[in-house]
Amino acid sequence: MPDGTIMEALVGEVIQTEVDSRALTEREFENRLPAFSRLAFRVAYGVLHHREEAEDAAQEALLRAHRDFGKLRKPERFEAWLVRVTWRLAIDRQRSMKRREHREASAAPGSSPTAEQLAALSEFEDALYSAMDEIPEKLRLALVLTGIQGYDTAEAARLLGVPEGTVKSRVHSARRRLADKLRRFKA
Amino acid sequence: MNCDHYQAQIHDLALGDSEKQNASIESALQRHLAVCAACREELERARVLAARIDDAIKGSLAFEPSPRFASQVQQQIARNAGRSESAYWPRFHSPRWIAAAVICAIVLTAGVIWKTQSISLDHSRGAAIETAEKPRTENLEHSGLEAKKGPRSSKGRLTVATPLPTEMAAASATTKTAYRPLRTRTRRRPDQQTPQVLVPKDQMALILQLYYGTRTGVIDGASLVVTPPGFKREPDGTLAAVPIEIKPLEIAKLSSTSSPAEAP
Repeated sequence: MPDGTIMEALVGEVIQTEVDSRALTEREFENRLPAFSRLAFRVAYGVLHHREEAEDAAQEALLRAHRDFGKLRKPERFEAWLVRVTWRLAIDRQRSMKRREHREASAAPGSSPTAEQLAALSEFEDALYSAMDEIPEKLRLALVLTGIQGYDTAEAARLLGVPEGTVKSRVHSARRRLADKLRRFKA
Repeated sequence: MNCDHYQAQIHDLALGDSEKQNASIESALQRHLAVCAACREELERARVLAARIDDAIKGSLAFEPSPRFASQVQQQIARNAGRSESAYWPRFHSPRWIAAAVICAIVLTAGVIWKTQSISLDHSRGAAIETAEKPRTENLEHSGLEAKKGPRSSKGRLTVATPLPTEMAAASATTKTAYRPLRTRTRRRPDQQTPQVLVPKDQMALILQLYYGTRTGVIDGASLVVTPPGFKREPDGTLAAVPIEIKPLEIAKLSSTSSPAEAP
């Protein structure tokens, strides 16, 4: 086979391999998009406590994730990276939000609370969210991740890239600080 | 019974993190709780509050995004995929980069304006010095007196060989220093120097007079009247020339045979 033909074949093979890998990563991203969407939304909601704002922050994070998905050196760290990006975007968005009275009262699913119960719940949640905004970000992130369904301290440690003991310590500190700030709600 | 001592431990116990407690402390706490009803009530209230906090957090994080959320993201991804693959320019569409570009543009504009004004100022200074010289020279010529224009120093200062007192004052009184109209983009001649001082146009001759006096003559500090060298000021204010006496230089002649004591 002439040299030119060999070179063309080699180049063609390299290009095809790169196209195939790129197609695989995009396909993989699309397959996992629903799970990524839920995770990003919940992390954003843990900061913003507002559905529309959380969706906007999560969408921006997912678009950035898709843009840089193929560039990740360790694809297995994608979820951790997504969590960090979403968190950062949500914090920035929270800082730019001028008013915080858009929080939504979360009623227990399937229940029909009375107006008084709703008012009391809203007052407690407002105080809780304000207290959460005041605790350090590291503690807050650990608390939010362990509060998401399906993510325990081991999963949170994997996402944060820290030992599990560190996550437990941060969660304990966060809960302790919240309890101190909400002492007036002790029944 | 010191209940305050156990408050921190009670709250840790309420949070359910038993790892925080070591065995000896926990056993001491349990013994205290066995005999202190107030601390038992405090522990119960702290547990209820901790549970309420946990439930509120989990409840808020149990929200699902809207049903259209994932499809909206997918549509946006498809739209972005149709645009350029370059990741370079989109980075600069963020407000931070736009603000940085605006600030750079403002700084550059201010620098250009400042530089333009500096060049204009230099031109006007040069024009002022040039027109200040010219009328003085012309008037001196009219008066029939000699006016020598000395060589310029490297710093652009003027030196006059023979300053003229009253005639110069008379000339300066009639001198009207007029500035040339400012020409933009004027090329400087090699011998044109940047003046050191800007003065009002009716003060130029007096400033020059003062300058000459500082260089070569005497200045009366009270009245700033200059007496040029070779002249003295009479009581009536007029100047009279002072002859300069130059004594011959006397050198003692030394002979080889005479002793120093015999020298004249």
